[in-house]
Amino acid sequence: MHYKMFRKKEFGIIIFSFLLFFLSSLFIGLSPQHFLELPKIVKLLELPDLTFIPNLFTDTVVTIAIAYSSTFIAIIISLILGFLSAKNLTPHFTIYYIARTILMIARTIPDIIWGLLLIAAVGLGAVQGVFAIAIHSSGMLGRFFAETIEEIDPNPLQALEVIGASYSQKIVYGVFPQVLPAYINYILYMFDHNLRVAIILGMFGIGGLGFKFLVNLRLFKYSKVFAILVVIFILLFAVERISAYLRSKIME
Amino acid sequence: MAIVKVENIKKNFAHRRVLENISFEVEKGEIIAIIGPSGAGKTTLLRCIASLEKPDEGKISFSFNGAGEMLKNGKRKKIGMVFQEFNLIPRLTVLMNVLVGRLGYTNKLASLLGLFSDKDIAIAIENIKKVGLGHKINEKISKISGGERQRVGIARALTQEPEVILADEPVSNLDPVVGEKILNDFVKLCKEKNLAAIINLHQIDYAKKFADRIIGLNRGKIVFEGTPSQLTEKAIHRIYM
Repeated sequence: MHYKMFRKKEFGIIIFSFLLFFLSSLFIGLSPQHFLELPKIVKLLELPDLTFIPNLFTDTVVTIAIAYSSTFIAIIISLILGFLSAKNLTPHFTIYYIARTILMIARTIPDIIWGLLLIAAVGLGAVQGVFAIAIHSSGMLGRFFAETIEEIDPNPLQALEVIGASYSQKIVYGVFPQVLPAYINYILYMFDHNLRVAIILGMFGIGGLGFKFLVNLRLFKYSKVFAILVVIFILLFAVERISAYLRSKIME
Repeated sequence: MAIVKVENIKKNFAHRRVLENISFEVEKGEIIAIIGPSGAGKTTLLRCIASLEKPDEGKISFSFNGAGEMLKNGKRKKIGMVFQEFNLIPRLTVLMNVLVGRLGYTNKLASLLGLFSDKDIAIAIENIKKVGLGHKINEKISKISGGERQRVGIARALTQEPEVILADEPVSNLDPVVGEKILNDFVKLCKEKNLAAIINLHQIDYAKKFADRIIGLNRGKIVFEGTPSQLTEKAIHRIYM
């Protein structure tokens, strides 16, 4: 007797996903020729102009500052909304639904769209980028925070109840110590994500590395474009390593 | 003189009667063991005494020193509780978990900042030493054994400076040797401080060995009440049938 690796249903799903890819390609006009054109990117390749890197210091700081400030604002908003929208800790179910709805709206509209909306409404500037990223991150973090709270062990809270702890004391002594490692994990992930978004939003006019990248790309100054890419790579790599180090420390 | 008086309490959960006409009294310094099969209502009874549940009918009154001191959340300051699952916070240290027992006594704002008075810290450390964990004060809960965790749970309850301690299956999750030793130390500490203790137990031999009085519950009713020597095979059969 043969062992069946895939059952009919699983086989069907695989066939269906291929079919869907074929239809999508047809719809957007994607052909094998396009894949062959990909190596054209090599034509752009020039040695990065490393002497340009010191000029990128301010832009790098602007990008980091946008990502940091937006993450910071998002943490504060989502800490509050996270508690209010956790089923086991919400003071009232009306508040729960209001908090959940705010988080849902903030989350479902992508940060880039928030950014474009704010730029359209207020004009170009780093602050618009900070708010755009902060709004979307609040939606994401708030949901992560609420779900983490809903999964905590309720037993320590019961002990605190007998001891006579107030709502805020229960949060400080019963909830925070349990959720803190997960929270820090999410925050680090969010900062990493926001740094990338800050670079992309830069191209839409909020400044920083993204803006410099777009300007030099339009001027065909590819040696400078690649110098910016080197900086972006080092920056994201450093943040990833620092995050990994902090995570390992927290889990100890 | 009775310091806890339970009078005719009844409790239903979703139309299922869990406690029916439960009445008994507890004297100061008395150790009471409540035994009975799973689902007999032992935990609900303790939860009613701890004000974690409200009886549908009947009354529970307290007449010890400070019995009237109520906490803001409606719980009594002088009733401590020890749990089957220890109910500690794993990421915090032994000292911090025990200090939590002082929350009913501290300034709320200071406690939110993690500040406790020297007196509170002294009481907590004294109780940690009493349960034999003086050498592990700054150890995280996640790094100590199950038996040691329950000792921390006992120290936390003692730090509340209670008059009555309720213990819900305190040694069920521990191996028999460690469990018996911890129960022995717990009862000794209660006797030393002249505290009343109501202990839910699964193990009949522990109830006979450590309690002054045993109450047998079956399907929410008291079917036995007496001294350990009065707990005969026939009485056991009546409790567990």
